[in-house]
Amino acid sequence: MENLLDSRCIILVEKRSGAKVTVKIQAMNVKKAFPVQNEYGKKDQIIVLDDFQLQVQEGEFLSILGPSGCGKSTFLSILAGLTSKTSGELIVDGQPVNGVNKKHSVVFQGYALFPWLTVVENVETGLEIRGVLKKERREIALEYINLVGLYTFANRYPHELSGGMKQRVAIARSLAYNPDVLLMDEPFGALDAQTREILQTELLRIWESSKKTIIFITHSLDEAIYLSDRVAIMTARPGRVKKIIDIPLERPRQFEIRNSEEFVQLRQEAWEVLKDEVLQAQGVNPPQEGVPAKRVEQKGKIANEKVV
Amino acid sequence: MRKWSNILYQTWYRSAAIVIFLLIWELLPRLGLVSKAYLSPPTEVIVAIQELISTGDLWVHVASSLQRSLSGLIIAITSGIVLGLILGWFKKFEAFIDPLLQLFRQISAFALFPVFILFLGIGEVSKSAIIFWAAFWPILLNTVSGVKHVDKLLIDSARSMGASQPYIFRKVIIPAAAPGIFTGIRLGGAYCITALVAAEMIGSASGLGFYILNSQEIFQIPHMYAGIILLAFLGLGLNYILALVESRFTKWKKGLVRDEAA
Repeated sequence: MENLLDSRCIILVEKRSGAKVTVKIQAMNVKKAFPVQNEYGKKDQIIVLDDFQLQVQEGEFLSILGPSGCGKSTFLSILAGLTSKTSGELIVDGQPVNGVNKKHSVVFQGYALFPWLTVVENVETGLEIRGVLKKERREIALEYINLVGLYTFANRYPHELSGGMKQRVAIARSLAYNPDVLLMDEPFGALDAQTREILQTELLRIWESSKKTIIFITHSLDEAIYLSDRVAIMTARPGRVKKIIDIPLERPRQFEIRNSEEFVQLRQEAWEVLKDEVLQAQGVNPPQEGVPAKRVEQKGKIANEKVV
Repeated sequence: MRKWSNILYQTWYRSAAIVIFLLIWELLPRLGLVSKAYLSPPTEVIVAIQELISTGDLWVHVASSLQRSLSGLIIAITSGIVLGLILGWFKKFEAFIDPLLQLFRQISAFALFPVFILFLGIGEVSKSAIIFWAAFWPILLNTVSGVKHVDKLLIDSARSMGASQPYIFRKVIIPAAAPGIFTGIRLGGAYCITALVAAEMIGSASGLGFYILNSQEIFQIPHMYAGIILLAFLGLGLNYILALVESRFTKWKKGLVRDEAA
């Protein structure tokens, strides 16, 4: 009995110290507008992000969920230093973002592997950029290729691999130079459902052993809840964070957790927040009060299926 | 067994068209359907080629043709690629200069020949110049478009890993543009042979182009056809070498092309 109490205490202390973790990334009033020409040929602008606020803690797995075109990828691109913001403040490790941060790495939906390099050469790229010598970088690269289970494919070219394998290579490449922050832009969006589930579980395994900060963009509710500590739900364009939902599911998570009542409840809660935004993004008016709800309800269901 | 018969069938199928063509060519003058004074049968053409080899004239003509075409082509390849890479990289400047390039491209190398003669005389330099002009444009324009159309995702991917601009240029832009560059080089090779013949037919005393025209003028018709055949082989050989170099540099594409074809 005493032993049990003791171990409980330790967990509590750990949790408490965990709650105190430092802020890794802070976005304040971030705005992004693209200049365009409107239908009369006059200069206009599309506001993609407006009043975007977000705080990410060190070691956290945070998902950003939102309807298509809400600017979630744009935010990631700004955070990665690939796109400039129009106004607002974006601070990483206490420093304002200014160009590409060498401690960040990005995993793209389209894999973005170099087709003329073999798997191992692809994974070496980030190390080569950092001036790591040939022999050493090969060793490190092979280590990470092994981590994603592709050791026997090290000398193949990307076009010889399936989509899931390509994304594993991209993940190995992004980890190889040991970044603090992993920015993942719908990395599993192009994969089939089974491959996707396997890679989600593997990503969790890798994250749990490395404890990197991960910002994960997705439009799948299940994926966001299954993977994350917190899920930030965005509004339709112009995008801002509408609500952040804590995901207190215990870790390490097994895939079966998706069938638990807690998971289903979280999913329902997240969907309630997201629903109106999805409808708005698709050009459907949110349900009006007093109007018979049946038809609208159905539309909601269709949208629900699409999102998932 | 089946494998052997398959190979035999494939060989027959791949060469049938040429064999049939040669047969018809042989029969037309032999049966008197076309005058021998205009069309020599291939057997006589082969005899003419043998003669050329035994007198050593073959080497003289092929060597001077090769020298002209290769000097023009190599200058076109190096300058076309270097300029193309620069223009593709500096997009603003490329947009500025593009109309002028499109205009120049349309100026036939043959139309410029009198200009080259005027400036460079009738010697070897103006012949190399006409070959250079013909081969330069496809190489330049294909290189520019190869660089311009590099997938932005690949550039972003390299940037996100912290790559510098020179690194991106060397390790992303050039390999990604390589297939386009080689398309330009192969086209340049083909144009170079065409321009070579024209150059050698005007004011020249050696080379296959000269030999063809000269044989016609002195009524050695089998020799004229011999020159034409040799020229075709020269073009084939050049194309083969360029294809070999290309596959060496774009080895990674091999399976890709096969996949697309399948």
